[in-house]
Amino acid sequence: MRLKKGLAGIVLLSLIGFAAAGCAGNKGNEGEASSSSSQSPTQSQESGSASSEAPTEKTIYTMGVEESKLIWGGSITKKLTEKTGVELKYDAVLGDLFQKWDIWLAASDYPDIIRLDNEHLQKYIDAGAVIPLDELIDQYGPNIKAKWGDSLNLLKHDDGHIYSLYSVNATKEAPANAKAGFVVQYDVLKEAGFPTIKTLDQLYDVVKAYAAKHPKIDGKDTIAFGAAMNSWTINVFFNNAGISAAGRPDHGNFVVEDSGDVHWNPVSNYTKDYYKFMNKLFNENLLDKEAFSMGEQELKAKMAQGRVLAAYAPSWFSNPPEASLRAAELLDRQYAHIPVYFNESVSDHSNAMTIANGGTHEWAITANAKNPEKIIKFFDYLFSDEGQILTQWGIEGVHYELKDGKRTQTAEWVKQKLADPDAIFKEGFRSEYTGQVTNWFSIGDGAKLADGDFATPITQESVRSEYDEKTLEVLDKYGISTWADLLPPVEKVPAYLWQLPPPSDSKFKVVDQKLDDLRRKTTSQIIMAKDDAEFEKLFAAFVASAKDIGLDMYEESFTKIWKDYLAEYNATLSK
Amino acid sequence: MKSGINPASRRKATPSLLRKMLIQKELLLMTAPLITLVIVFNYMPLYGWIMAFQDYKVVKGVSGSPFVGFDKFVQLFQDDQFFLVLRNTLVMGFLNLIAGFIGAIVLALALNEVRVKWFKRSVQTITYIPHFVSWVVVANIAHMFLSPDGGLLNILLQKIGIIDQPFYFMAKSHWFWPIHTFLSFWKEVGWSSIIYLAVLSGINPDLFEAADVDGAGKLKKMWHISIPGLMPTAIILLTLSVGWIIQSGYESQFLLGNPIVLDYSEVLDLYALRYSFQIGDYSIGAAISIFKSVVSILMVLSINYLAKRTGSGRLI
Amino acid sequence: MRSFKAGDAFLNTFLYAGLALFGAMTLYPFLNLFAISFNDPLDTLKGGIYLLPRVWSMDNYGIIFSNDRLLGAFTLSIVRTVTGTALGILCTAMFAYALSLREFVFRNLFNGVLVLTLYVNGGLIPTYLLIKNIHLMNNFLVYLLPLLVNAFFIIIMRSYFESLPSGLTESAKMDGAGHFQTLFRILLPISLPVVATITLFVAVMHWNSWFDNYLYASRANHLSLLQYELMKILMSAMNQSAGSQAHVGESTVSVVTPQAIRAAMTIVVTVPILVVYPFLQKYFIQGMTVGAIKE
Repeated sequence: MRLKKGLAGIVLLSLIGFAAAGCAGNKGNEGEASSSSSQSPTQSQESGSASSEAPTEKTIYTMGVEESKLIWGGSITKKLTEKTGVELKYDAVLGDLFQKWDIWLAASDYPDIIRLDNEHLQKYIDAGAVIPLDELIDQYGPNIKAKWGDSLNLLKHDDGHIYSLYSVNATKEAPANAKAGFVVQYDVLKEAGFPTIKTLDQLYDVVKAYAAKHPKIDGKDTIAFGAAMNSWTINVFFNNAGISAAGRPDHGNFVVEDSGDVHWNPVSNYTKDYYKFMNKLFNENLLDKEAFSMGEQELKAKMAQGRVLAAYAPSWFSNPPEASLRAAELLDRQYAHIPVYFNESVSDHSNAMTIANGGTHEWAITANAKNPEKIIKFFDYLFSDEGQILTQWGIEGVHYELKDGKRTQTAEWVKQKLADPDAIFKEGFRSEYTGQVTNWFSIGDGAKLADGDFATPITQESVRSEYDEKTLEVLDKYGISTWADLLPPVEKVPAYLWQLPPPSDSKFKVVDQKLDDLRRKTTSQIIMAKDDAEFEKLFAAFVASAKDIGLDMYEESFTKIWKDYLAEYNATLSK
Repeated sequence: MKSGINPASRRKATPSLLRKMLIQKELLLMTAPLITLVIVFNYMPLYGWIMAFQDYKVVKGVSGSPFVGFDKFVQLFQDDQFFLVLRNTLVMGFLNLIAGFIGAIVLALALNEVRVKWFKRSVQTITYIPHFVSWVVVANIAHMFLSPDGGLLNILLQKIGIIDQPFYFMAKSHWFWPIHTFLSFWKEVGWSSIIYLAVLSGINPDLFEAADVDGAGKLKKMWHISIPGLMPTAIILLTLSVGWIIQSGYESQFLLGNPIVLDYSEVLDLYALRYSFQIGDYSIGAAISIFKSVVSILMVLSINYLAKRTGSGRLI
Repeated sequence: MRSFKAGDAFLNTFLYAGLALFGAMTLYPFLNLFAISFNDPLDTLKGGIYLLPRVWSMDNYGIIFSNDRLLGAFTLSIVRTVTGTALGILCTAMFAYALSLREFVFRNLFNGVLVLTLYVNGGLIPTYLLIKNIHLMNNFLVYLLPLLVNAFFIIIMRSYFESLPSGLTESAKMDGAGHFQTLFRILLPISLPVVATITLFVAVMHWNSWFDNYLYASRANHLSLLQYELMKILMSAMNQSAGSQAHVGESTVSVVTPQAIRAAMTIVVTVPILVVYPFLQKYFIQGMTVGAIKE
């Protein structure tokens, strides 16, 4: 009896299941049908006037993105659809980006618009999966041309075609919210009488003195210097830190000499000097005890507890713990962001800026997209002044207002933004990354539009208005108005090495992984060396092993890539 | 593998396959559609193994990529790192298997002896919960407890005077395998014991009643009734799991490991990820996949052979 | 007789104490997650939360439940789990039954074919191409068909069937019952412990899966499952914290932290399982036995 009931249940359930499946299937088909029917071309629009004419029909384009929280439905994205007739349907990649890009390519199943890195873009170009944009830009992209100027030629690939677009830097100054990489707690500076700290030795002295005086903070052991080696953060705390202390521009794990020769940074003297500094901290018990097994999360936690006195922590890393400190009203435990060097004679070239922000976040249109003209017009709108104001500032009266003829964010919007980290998603300020920290295609914080006003809301004034009283006090002691003031003047560089596609040969990539493995294994041993002799021995052994793996070939490949690019760059600019 | 032919059909001269199929049409109806699904979803994608003998390029696909023979396997077997991660995979897989296998059976037997219903039910429910907690969380908890910087275990050990300085567990290479095994055990043993509980509850209670009459104690009943009852299932699960030793995944090792213990924590699947998918060389990935399958199947067949020899349950 | 009893008493103490201890140990991660999920995310960043929240907050759940696709995704997850489980059990039982019969003509062949699937894998790209070519992309059936036959579950059920007294099926045959009748009328009712177990396994497999959604149905919003929507929230939090796109202002008062989101997420997906579990648990913990039903 009981069984019969159970059986009937199972049968019933499976029927429901199939019915549901049927429904879902139908819905899917309908969806496809409607989106393809609306993809009838809406030509007849003149180039450049896309912004003023309201397109009659809406087209839904799929776009492959990494940011999974994007939605199309905020006030800004709605306005974009109104203006351009384009709606994006985001297909978010969770986890391994490269894998999904490869799968899409293998199955010709890529979305209409796709964001790729330069290496995968090349794969897509080879497969004919992305379309050339130069003619489309010529015809429909007056604003793209205006904002890019001569630099547009830098977008051209070997075959003379342009395949991707990203943000361009029309500014000549560092963003007002930029900060140096090394951080020191306000309270440490205060106790030392707000000294000028320029070298690692000076940094070492102040934290050592403070740690000796305050072995515990809030009942827990004081950590004089923080770092986290586990996972990818090894690049930040053990590589970038040394490059920054040497005042070199950030070419990832590489140093580019003035001669154009490229060297792998982990074996460079910069790294050696920095490891030496870490070694000294370690032997004096000033380095975090578990720096070698800790991930970024744990370091952030310790910083948020207020017991990490100093570290190399770029603002994207230190911002969340500092927010936590402010919330707990531990304002004295916030960080001053100070450039620190190996010695006084280092001249700082680290505040580099490229003309454009290619490399990792390039937007391309795939062969699957119907009516790509419409997409280019959409991109062009984003590059127009009207589009810039809409995407960076928002809607007048809601997100910004005109005060003395200048755009200023409204108080309500600032409040809303600070209270709800998702507000910028909900409103539509966020898009897939375009190479700039700001969203959508940007021309850079501090750049100006034709109306003479700033293109983005990140200005010295707005940044200062967000500082708490303690920060203002410390800034005052040093006679500066923002942390960005401590940075050296911006220097334009042709590119960062990581913006150029690496060799795609799999033998090269194996060497790349092997070197990375080697570095991860040896770094901790070198830093834990008991004395100088051991340190020297271990470092020399590390360099020797790297050479065995194929370091010379590896560096030569990069040198060639860099020099080739440089020649092309100079040729383009001299045209 | 002898198939038992029942006496009724033996009398006739071996009936044709077709005839047999006709007689067993009901059984075929039950299985044929399903075996079709298996062939479609599990076997058709196996053409991907061709990649292992190619220099596969996504752009060209399997049909267009050039063949390179056994180059990828040679590359694999010439790499010292490969054998290191293979060792780690096998050791950790084996430790996990033994701990998990024995642990699940012991837990099931213990729960089966509990007579207080609410206790039995709650303990059983609670022990399986960690199965739903991701490794990220488990690793966080482990780091928190084992940390030399205020970790609870270190504080405890210092308080009772076993150590005077905090012990840096995570930085000791030879501690990695025990820590990993313990955490895997803790996370999965409750979940694994569910099958054994089900089997135990299917054992005929008459057997226990008879034993009670004979005055057998708990241990004796366990030994003579419960354990033999579990054996067939246990042997089959053990055989199946032996094949999975080499397919360990990499999440737990990756999250628990760190640069200092790398030589003990890196496993085959992480190696595959780093040297195949991350660098876009799918051929080496396919070669590793084939290698794993061959090792798995060989291990399963040998255990299955042993199980058959000893007359316990068998898989195939 | 006496010595046995004393031994039992000692064993009992040991048993209860040991189980209680182990239970407490395994309960810890859940309590910890519970505490973190109800703790203020900015405060969570400081770490050191063990059993109770330090600063109570509903923010983490707020972030999760502010997703307007969540209700639809939740419903679909239930539909998928229920249909997937019902069909899965049906198929597992039929296949396992056929394989448990010694006379089945393809027994060895099918058995081998099935077991092999546990150890071979064609890889991601070929599988993706297959799904695309048989038009299962963005189709609800992609959630069901590939998971319908699971060798592991079939083998467990088969071995259970094999352990049953063979007289049962023999006598059914004598009565002229067909295979379907034998399976559904005779075998399944006395196999409730294993059926309940497999039901649990299949249901959890369906409930927890998001990768097929991500891989094969990421462009169909109406096919979004709960786990997939939650994964998206989590990934976004992780991206933000990894800094590639950090945008925390100087005076931001709220930050999304991955640990906090992950904790709330784990609670949200685990609670339904905990609620349903007791209904299945009684079948395999209470001793639904052959003898009891054999009449």
